[in-house]
Amino acid sequence: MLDTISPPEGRISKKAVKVWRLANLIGEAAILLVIAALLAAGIHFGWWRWLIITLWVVGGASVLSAIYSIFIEPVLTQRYWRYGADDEFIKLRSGIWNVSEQTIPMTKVQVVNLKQGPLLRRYGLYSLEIETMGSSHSVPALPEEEARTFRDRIAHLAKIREEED
Amino acid sequence: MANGTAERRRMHPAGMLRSAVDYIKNTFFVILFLFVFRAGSEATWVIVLKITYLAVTAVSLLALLPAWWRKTYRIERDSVKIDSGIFVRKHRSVPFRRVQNVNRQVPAVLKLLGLTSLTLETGAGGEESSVRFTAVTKQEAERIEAALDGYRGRKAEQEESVMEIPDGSEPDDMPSGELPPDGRVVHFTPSRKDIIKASFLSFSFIALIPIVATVYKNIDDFTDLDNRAEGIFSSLAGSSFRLAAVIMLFVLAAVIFGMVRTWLKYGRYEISSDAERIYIRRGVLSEQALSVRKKNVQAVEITETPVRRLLGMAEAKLITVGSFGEDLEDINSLYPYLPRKRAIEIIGELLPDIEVSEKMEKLPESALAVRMLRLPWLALIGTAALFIWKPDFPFIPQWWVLGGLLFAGTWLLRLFDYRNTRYLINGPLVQFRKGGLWRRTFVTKREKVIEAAVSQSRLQKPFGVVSVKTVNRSKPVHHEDLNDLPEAAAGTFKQWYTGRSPELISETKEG
Repeated sequence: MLDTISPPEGRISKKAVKVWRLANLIGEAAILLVIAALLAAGIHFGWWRWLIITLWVVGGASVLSAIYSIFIEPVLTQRYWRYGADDEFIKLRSGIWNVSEQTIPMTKVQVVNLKQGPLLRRYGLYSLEIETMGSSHSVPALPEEEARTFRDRIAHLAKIREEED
Repeated sequence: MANGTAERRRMHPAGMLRSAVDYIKNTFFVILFLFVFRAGSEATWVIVLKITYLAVTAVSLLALLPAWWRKTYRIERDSVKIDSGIFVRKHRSVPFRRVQNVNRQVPAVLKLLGLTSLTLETGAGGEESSVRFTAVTKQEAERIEAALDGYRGRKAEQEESVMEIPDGSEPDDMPSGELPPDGRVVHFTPSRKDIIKASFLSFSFIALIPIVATVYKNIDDFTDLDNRAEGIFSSLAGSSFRLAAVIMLFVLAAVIFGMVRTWLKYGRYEISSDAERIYIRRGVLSEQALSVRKKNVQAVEITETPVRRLLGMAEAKLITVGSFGEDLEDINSLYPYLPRKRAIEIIGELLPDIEVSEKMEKLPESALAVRMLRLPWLALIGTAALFIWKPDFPFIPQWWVLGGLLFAGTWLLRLFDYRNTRYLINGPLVQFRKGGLWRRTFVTKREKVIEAAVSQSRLQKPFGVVSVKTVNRSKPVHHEDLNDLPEAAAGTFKQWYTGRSPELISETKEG
């Protein structure tokens, strides 16, 4: 993948796999519950046949997608994530089916954020958000120490550029 | 004006007149309804509405005076300070270096009084993104613009003459007699022939139909036009001669309307520039103008519609940071009906840094293979829909013929797109061209690209092609991508973007 370009060095925490598994488990369980409830109600109250069929199809697809997003996707996402920065650019590479590598100049960084939800907190992880004038990007799960160092580094380099101006 | 820099000023009082006129314009149909169609009505609800309308109008109009009085601005060395608000005071300070471009909008009311309105656009988000001077004298507008560029020493009257183009002057002779001061060069003014061409190419004669429809609809809401119209139509249907005459009249009216409309918009069109800025102005009755610093042009885009491509024409557009309000939508376009060559020439004249090259790289043949292999979603869904629906009308072929046409069309467009797609990395510039029937060329400089991305899908990988994307500041943010470049080109693109360069480091945060 993008063989001609060497990828950045940094990798995100292996614990991220657990976090995503848990998050996806909760999300998928909620969706499946809703579909199951609708199906039960449909059968009980005798809704239209086509609606019941559609619900079975959607339910089946959700089960497949749940299997993928709980057991397979987190491992692959973690395996392919790379991030890094030199003095001028931040590089983020990610994607399973579609590998994409972003290059963000330090000069264009407006905001760097550390964020932690309840799941990330359980594993002592942070997600780092980088906002530019155009869009925002995030490095999803970094150990606390690494996240803070990286944030400080970006903040420092982005600031230097402004002062030079 | 001697010690003018830190002096508090107000907008010209005629700004209130403009607001009042705008208010009446916006409530025109309410007035028409309440005071014309229901003029003699004694119904309670009509009287209540009339009183409410008059009360709201009185308050709105009376509030204009204190609002005007309490709004002051101060042009300082490097910022403009605005204090406004009748009860709740608001103090804003906008540094000049944040200002990306300047728009002028001169509605007919202000034009009669020799005034202008001025908007300073910053790239910021939200309502606070621009500073509007609703009505100022031309000299004052020039003073503000001069302060903005740090051209402090110049006399305001000197610039004034630029704005005045003598009435009745032939637009198609070169503006040699009135060469503007301070090195301002006029690059283009449309000739009479250009206007006539534009009026047909823009299809603006068709615009008569929605206007007639809107007026009809609005009036019909108040009185019962439908019945009367029916009477007229039935009398017309009786005589084919009369019907033909009416159609002829309507076509004639539409053509004249289209020409007048185009002339009103482009009649006094002018693109000019000096060392610092690019100026575009247009409009005969109401006037709109844009002035943007060359430094702040983020990218250039050239679009060719199928009709324009047949005629060898193209429209060039400057992509800038600020957004444009009502009536100003396409002010950043460099005359939409120029021969392609001339459009590219004008870009070169306006922006010496940007060179649009005609010699670009083609995509490899493997790119065509990838493109043909991508799932044609639209055709698939369309065919599925046709299969379920099975349209059964006279003269409409079977569903599978239509489905086949859908697939053929999709693949044909992909082939055209492949043949049109070109790219070029040329010094500090990157240039993309793409599109099947509508063709777009995009050129930008490295320092204006705020983010770049290279990506490759599983489908692209075996064919050794990748996609690249650039992001430029604009409103909304301008994303430009190009699919299926060879891997080597992506490497070059990456190097082009990350290669150490002094321009990039000196680029300021606000761009």
